Amino acid sequence: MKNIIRTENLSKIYGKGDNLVKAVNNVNLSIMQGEFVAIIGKSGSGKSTLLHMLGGLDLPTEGKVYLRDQDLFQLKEDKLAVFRRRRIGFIFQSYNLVSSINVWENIVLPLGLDGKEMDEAFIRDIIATLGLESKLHNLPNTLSGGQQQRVAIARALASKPDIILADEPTGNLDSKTSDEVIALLKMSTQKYGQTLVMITHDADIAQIADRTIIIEDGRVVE
Amino acid sequence: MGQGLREGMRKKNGNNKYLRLIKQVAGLLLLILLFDISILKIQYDNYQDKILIICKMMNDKDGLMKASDILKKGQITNTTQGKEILDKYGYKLSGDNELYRRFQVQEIIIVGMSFLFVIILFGIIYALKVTNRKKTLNELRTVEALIEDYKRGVVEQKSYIEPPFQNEELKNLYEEICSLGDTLKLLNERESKEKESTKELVSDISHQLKTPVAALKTSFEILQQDLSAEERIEFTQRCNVQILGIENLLGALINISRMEAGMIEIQLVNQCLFDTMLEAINRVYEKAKEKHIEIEFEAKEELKGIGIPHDKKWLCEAFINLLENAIKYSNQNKKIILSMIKMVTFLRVEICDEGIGIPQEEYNQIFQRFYRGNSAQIRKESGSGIGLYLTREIISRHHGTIRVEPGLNKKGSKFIIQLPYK
Repeated sequence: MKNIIRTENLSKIYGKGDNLVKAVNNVNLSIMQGEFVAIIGKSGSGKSTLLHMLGGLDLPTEGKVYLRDQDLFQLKEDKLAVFRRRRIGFIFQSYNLVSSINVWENIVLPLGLDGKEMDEAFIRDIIATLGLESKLHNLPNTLSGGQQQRVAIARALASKPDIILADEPTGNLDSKTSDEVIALLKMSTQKYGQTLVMITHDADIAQIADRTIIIEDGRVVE
Repeated sequence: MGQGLREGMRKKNGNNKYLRLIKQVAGLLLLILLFDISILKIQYDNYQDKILIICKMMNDKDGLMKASDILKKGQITNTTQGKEILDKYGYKLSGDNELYRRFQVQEIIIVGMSFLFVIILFGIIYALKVTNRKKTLNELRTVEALIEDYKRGVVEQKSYIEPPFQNEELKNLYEEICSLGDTLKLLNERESKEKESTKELVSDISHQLKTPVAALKTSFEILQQDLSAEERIEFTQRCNVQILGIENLLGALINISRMEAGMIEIQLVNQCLFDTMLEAINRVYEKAKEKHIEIEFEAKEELKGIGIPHDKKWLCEAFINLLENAIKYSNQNKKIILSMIKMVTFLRVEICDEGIGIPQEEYNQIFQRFYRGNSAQIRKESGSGIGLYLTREIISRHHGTIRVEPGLNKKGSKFIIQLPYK
């Protein structure tokens, strides 16, 4: 299996001296194409920071991140933004939907920003899979948490990224909806051959992943 | 052969190109020619007018009157006398006079400039075309090279640098081919992974069989010796137990091997899930009854008719596995509750028992091949450790998920299965 994500001695260090905090400490991991990896750790273990670096959203203090053999942080700011936009889909705990536009617009927004032509049939397929057909004209604040998260997932999937990074996507959802969201993510990413990296503090979710990486105090404890 | 064919086609295309070029040049020349002719005509009329003015001036006596006449009135009339005078003096209208000579020079300049213009224009266009062609050819060569690589089976993951393409279509083509390469690579890897997995399976099977077969052998050897009647019975029974164990193991192994070898296709047909689950319950009913275990099935009316794409035989097997486990690891007089819950994209099935439960640390391991728990209670029961592995495989192929959590009041286990509607 080929590596799609690889890190080398990745570290993120804040502060100095007595105030030194090693949020991420010398992490070496590799994730294969098509895998569903769960990164588990308690609050403050550094998993969010790690995920942000994997997605190029945060600069490491040391070490490298390779996405498809491309050294992420060698890219210039604008090239990195394009790379990120085309290759990675993000899903956050707090959905991060744009509240002034409706569901459909939220989903196709990143595509529009990229100036790409839309594969409408594909997007309709995602919307159908996620059960959002009847909600396309709704504004986000008229939807339940579970529905909002589905919209966020549709948005992440719409641009057909190679990798989906999800930061506690079920954090704000009840247990049954959580289960469903995870199953949905797994089903979609398998269907489209994507790699899914998910952060969670819930070890039960890990049962559904292909592999689990445990993080404690910024280090990988597998 | 492909080489010669391509050469032949290139030549033909080349000829066609020249033909097109010539046509384009001819066309443009024709246009310029028409343009020149109209300018020439205008200039000639101009010249004519000049002559006529002179004629008119010569015609009548009053020069000033005539001049204002020409300027004010549109046409130049009454020139006949003037013409006669010119003729008399031998000045032809289109003859050897200063004005005519000037006219001729102007003509030559106009035509000359037009030609120059055409030549320069063509020069520029041609140069641009040639450089573009070169670039396109190079880019095409890059794409060809990539395809050649793939044909030879060299599918490396090139680093994702923006390919240096100017031609938008070629760039898209290149990227599409790259992604084709990725797919090829995935297929290759899947193939080698399958081979590895088969090797693993074979060694797992031989390993698993060794133990019960060795025990059987030992028991038999002991039976060969002189034993009391009681001892005979005991060892014969031990043999029996071992044989049953092997039989169990073989059954499960055959199932797995078939599945992994792709011999068994799981065919997803939209059908009523409720019926499948009922069938599973019916098949384990006897075993449950023996232990006085009650099986309850909760489902809202509307869910009883719901169709889910599934393979009835295999999914039934999966449910039977789960139910058998629940029965096996529960004490007498306990309850097993099945429920169906409608979610948005998936149907949720819960199987909750009041049995010995599973320690949280083992949640991931229980689905592994051949894993059985370590407690005495588990060792007591017969089992191959394959049931949950198989169940999870089956559910995966249905694009569903399965996980476990503590049962009601933290006792026993609850298995949660999700199956998609489409």
